[in-house]
Amino acid sequence: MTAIIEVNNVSVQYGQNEALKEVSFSIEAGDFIGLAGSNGAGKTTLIKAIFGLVPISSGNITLFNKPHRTFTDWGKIGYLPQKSSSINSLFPATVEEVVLLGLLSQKKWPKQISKEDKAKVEEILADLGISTVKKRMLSELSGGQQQKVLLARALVSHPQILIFDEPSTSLDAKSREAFFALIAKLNEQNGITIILITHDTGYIGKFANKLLYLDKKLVYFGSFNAFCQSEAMRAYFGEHDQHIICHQHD
Amino acid sequence: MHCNINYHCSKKSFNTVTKATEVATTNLCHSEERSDEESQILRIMRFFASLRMTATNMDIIKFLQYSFIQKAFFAGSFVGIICASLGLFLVLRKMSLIGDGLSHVSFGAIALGLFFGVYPFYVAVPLVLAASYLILKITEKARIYGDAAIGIVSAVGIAGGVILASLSRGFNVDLFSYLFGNILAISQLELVISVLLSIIVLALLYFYYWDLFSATFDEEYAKTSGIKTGFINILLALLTALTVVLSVKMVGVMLVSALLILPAVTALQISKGFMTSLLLAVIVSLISVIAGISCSFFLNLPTGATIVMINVLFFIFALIYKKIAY
Repeated sequence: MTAIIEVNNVSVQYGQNEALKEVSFSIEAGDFIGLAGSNGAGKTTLIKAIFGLVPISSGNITLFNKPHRTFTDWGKIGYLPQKSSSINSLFPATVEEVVLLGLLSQKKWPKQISKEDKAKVEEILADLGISTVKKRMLSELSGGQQQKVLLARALVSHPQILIFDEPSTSLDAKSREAFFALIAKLNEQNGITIILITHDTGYIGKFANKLLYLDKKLVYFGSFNAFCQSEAMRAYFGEHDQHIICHQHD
Repeated sequence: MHCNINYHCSKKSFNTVTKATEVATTNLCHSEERSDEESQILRIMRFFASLRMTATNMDIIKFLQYSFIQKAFFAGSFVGIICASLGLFLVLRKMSLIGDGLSHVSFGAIALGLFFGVYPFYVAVPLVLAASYLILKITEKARIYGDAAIGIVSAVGIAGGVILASLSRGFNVDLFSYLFGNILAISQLELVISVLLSIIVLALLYFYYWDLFSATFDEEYAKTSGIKTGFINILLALLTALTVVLSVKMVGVMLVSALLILPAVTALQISKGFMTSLLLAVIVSLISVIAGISCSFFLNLPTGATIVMINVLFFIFALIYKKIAY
C-alpha cells in the first residue's frame, strides 16, 4: 500500500502552549482512520497542520509524496468542517452555489464556473439523493440534508482523501447512523481514504479500520481491535476508559 | 479657491439659490484664475439663475438633457453598483461599519488636501486605502476586534480633519460640504475618475467573485481549498476604501455607509441565493440613485440624503413583503 499522508515528528506551538508534540504516523490509500482524543488533545490542530493552516514548529508533512508547503492539488483532499461553524442562517447561498465551492480548489485564476461544473454538481447531488433541493437555500434544509450538502461539496472534486471534523454534532441518532453508513460506503465502494474526527468512538469501532488517539502527543496509532486488546493501552487509559472507547454502536 | 455649496434645485429654492448665486458668481467672476471646479460651479449657478423663469414648465425631457444631471446619473449609477456589490460581502462578513470608519478617514484626508492646496481626491485615495489596510492589520496583529480597529482609525480621521479645519480657518465651507456630498456639482474630472475606478472595482469583483464568495461563506473551508484568504481580505478592504472615496462626493461622509449597507440588507430580506442577492442589491441601489437624484431635483431636497431615504423605503418594503410572503 502507498502512504498518501506522512506526518514525521510534527510539533505545533501556539505561543507558549504546545498543541502537538512530535507526532508521527502515515496513512495509506483506502484507510478509514478514526481520530480521537479529549478536548484540546490536538485533533483539529493536526488537521490544520495537514492543510498548512498552522505553522509547524518542527517536523514535516508529506501529501501524495510532496512536501505540504509545495502541495497545491487541494482538490485531492475533501474537507467537511463542523456543520455549526459553516452554516449561517442569514447567508443566502443555494445548495448549488455551496457545492460549486468544492470545485474551486481545482481552478486557476480567474476562477469561473462552467456548464460542466454545474453538471458535476447535479451528478453528485443525485448520487447523494438530494437533487430536489438544488435551488433551495442551505439554511432552509434539515440538519441531515445540510450535512449531505456539505458532503457533496467535499465530494464534487472527486477527492482521494476525505477529512471529517465532528460531522455528527448536530444530527439526531437516525441521521447520524445514516451519515456514518454513507461515509463507510464511500470508503468501501469508492476507495476514498477517510479521516474522521469524533468524540463518539463507538462509530470508530464500527466503521474505521484504524484508530489514531492523540493527547497532544501520539498515544496510539493502529488497528482498532488491537487497541482494545492492548495491555499497554489498558495501563494508559485504565480498564474502564479503554472499555468505553472500545464500545461499539449496534 | 474651492467653492462647494449644496444646490437644491426646485421652484421653492430659486430665490434663495439665486441670492447665493449672485454673491458667489460675483466673487467667482472677479477671480483672475478660475479652476475647472469653479467653472463648473459657475455654470451650475448660471443654470439655476436661468431656471428662475422656466422652472414651473420644466418637464422630464428637459431635466434629462442637463449635462450635470447626466453626469450625476452616470457617476451615481457606477458608484451605486459597486457600493451594492461590495456591501453584500461586507454585511455578510459583519464588516458593515468599515464603510463608516473609512468615510471618516476620507474626511480627514480631504481636510489634508484642502490644507495643502492639493485636489482632495488625490489625497483621499491613497490615505483611505492605507487606512483600510491598517484596520486589517490592527485587527490581526494587535489582537483586537474589527469594530474596535475601525473605531480607532475612524477617530483619527475625524480628529485630524477637525484640527486641520481649525488651523486653516479658510476652507471650512469646502470641507463641511463633503459631509453631505453634492453629486450635482460633480466635475468632468471627478466623473472620469469615478467611472474608471468603478470599472476597476467591478473587474476585480468579477475575477475574484468565487474566492470572495467562498471566503465569505466559510473562511476555514476556503483556506482548505487553497484560497489565499489573507489576500482576499486585503482585496476586499482596498476595494471598499476606493468605493468609499468615490461615494463621499455623492452622499457625503455622513451617509456613505448607508449606500453600502442598505441595498445589501434589502436584498437579503427577499432573495433566494447569493447571486440573486447580489443582483437584487445592485438593482435596488441603481433605482435609489436615479430616483434619489430626480426627487431631490424636483422636491428641493439634498441629493445624498434623498438617495439614502429611498434606500430605506426599499428596505421597509422588503421587510413588509417578507412578512406577507413567507
